Amino acid sequence: MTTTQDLLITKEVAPSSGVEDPVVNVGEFKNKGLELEVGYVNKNGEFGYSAFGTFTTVNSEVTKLSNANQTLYGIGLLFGSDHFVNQTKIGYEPGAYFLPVADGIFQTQAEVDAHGAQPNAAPGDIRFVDQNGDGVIDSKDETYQGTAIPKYEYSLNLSADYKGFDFNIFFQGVGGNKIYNGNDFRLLSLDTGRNFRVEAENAWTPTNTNTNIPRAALGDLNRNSRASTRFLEKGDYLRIKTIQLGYSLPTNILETLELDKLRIYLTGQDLFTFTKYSGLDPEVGGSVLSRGIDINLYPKYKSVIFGLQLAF
Amino acid sequence: MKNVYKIVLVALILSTTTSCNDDDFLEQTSVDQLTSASFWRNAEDAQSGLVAAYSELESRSDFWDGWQEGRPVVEYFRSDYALPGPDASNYAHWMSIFNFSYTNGHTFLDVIWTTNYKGLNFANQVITKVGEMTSDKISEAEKKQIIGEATFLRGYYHFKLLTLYEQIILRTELISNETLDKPLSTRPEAWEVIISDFKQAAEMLQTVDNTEPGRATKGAALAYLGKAYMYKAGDPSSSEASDFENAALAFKPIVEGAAGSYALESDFSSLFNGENENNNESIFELQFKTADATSNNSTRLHAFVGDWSIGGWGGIAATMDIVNEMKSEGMIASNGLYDNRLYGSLYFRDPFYNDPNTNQMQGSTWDELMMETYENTNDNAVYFRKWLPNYVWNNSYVGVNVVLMRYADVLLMYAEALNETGATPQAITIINNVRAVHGYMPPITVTSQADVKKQIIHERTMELTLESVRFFDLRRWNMLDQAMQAAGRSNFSAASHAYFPIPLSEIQTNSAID
Repeated sequence: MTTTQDLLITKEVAPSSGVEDPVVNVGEFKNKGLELEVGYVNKNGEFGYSAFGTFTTVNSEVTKLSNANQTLYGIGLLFGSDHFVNQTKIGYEPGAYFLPVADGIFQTQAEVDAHGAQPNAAPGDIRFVDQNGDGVIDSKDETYQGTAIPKYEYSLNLSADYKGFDFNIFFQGVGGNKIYNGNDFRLLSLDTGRNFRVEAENAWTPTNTNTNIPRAALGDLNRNSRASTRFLEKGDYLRIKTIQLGYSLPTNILETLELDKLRIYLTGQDLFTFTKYSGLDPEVGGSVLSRGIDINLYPKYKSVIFGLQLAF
Repeated sequence: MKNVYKIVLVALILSTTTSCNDDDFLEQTSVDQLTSASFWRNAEDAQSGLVAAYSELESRSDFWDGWQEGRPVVEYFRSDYALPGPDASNYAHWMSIFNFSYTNGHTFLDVIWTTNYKGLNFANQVITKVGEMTSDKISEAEKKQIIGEATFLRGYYHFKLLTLYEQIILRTELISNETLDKPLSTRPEAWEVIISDFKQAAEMLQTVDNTEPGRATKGAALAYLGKAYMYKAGDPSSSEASDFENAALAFKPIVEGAAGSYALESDFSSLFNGENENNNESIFELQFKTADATSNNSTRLHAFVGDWSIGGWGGIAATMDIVNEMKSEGMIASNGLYDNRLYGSLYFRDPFYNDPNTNQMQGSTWDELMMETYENTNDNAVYFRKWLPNYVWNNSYVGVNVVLMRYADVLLMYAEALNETGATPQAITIINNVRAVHGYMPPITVTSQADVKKQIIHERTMELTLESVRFFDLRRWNMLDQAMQAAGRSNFSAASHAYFPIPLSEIQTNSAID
């Protein structure tokens, strides 16, 4: 269990104070978890192999803030002043997601009328859940929607060697976390005459109703593209971080070449990723108060490296 | 043993506590840097502090989202005579202001709120800290001048906020830990502070004849004092019977010459094209200059205003309704044309702009420019002309000043205040003077108080189009709903859109607001 106290962080103060945001102590976070590491090494004649695995669980919780009812917001994706995704408050993970729930697309005017809480909606617009039943969709309908911090992380490193050949593969994965797909928000909001991503062609129309992309509406009066679970996705992934095959020349050849060692190898990095996340890369970082937002990030690239190791 | 067999099982439970109870190490004083405590050593420091207080005027410190786009979209787009220019549809956040579909998280609402409050913070620092300076550091005269200007600015920033937002937080002290979060004030409370600051500034400041251009003067303080009373008179939450009388009392010394020498400039266009800056008609003027080796304080407002056809970015256009309104008295000007201010305010298809022998269309004609850009003569298009220098083809940074308060506005507000308090004949004389000098127009023929008010409404369109008054005038005349409906702005309702909501950023961070 780790307790982080007196965490120094840039605190956003009321803009009406007219002062720059100061760095202050904001509170106390607790991290609880279990770390498990298992290793196995064996050699059978010229065949050697090993396996190492780790498994870690994390449970983060904000336990103290400057005042008990305080909410610290993360960054706003729309000009910094709107579209807030993360909130930090006591009892939840730092930077947890608090969002209204997007509940599919209105298919008919009757559905819009029956819902009653979205006066500007038309068929093709997103239905948001009126959590408190007060007949309006506003900040009071934001509910806890999970966190970008994985519930568990794991890795597995397998190695084997036989005669001059060696092989290694490293798996790494996380689970139980969510990712906010900010690129979808920015490139599929269909609110104005500008460039969007190609999926925009699949937007809802009266003749294209089997879609999860709402209608294109100038001005977006229903605010289909407000911060909501529409853009929140599961962030679980399993990734083969590295895979390597090597061959070292036998000693008798090395002696004639007057070398101590000559090894050739081929490495692949981030070649395979197994995830249901629709964005470019599920490895999304972030800051303490603002994490798990995938927007304008440069994705990890796949690489294949051919190498030659020489020792004299 | 051939096999090596090993299993490692580690369960780690860490327990660490990081703390820094000794806060002293976080509070080191930097000996080679100025702090707010060690600044304010002499008159030069006081002037520098004052410059910071001016720097937030009209959100100039946030060039793009404040000055260049935020302010014109917020102040021009909401006029019933405005239309989005050809470039505007690219920007959802401009269109949401035009369509009155913005939310409290809108970036312009946030930026304009924030910059004005920065100005208030700077102004309060000057007022308090220069006030504490002893006579060995600064002369009494200079101290009075600087505090007077800062007091004017504090009034100005509060006034700006109160006319834009439904409620504001009053900031009249240095910010401390205890006042970071502060509740909203009522509108009557806010008006009281604004009026008191403008009054005090008017007492402390010099006339325009004894002041550097750009600085606040006695005339500016009185003009904004009067304007504050006019706006308060049209604010049902705060209006009092004495407001128009008080407004007239504030304007009177300006008009009678007791607050400096002001006069109407005969060349109307020259008030806006940068070729006659800080002239006799200017009462408070935002200063710009082109960049040179040591400074850069320039603007591209003309690029926002100018249409594509004249080399601008096409941020805004005007409705045909405003042309009709401006033509409504007919071609009765002394030169045989319409009111001269029509041509000083708008470009549209008209013989005046199709005469190849004049330079009114920058060496070309309306038809030529429109054919070139739009492939037709654009018969129903109207564009604003104010704030454009005489060479719009160059849409890069220029040093064209923007006058924020001018004598003609004071005269028309004075006439309105007089008319509202029963002095209609006096009001008519003033109106006729403005019409003659700027419009080449004959005296008006109406005489009743109600008709003179209608005439003033017309004159304010003739005179002050694209000078950030139309939306606010309509509001104080209780004409917003009617005008927006007539303009087809169907999403507008005065109940929801007469004022902006408190920005989301303030609600999220200020624990004294629900």
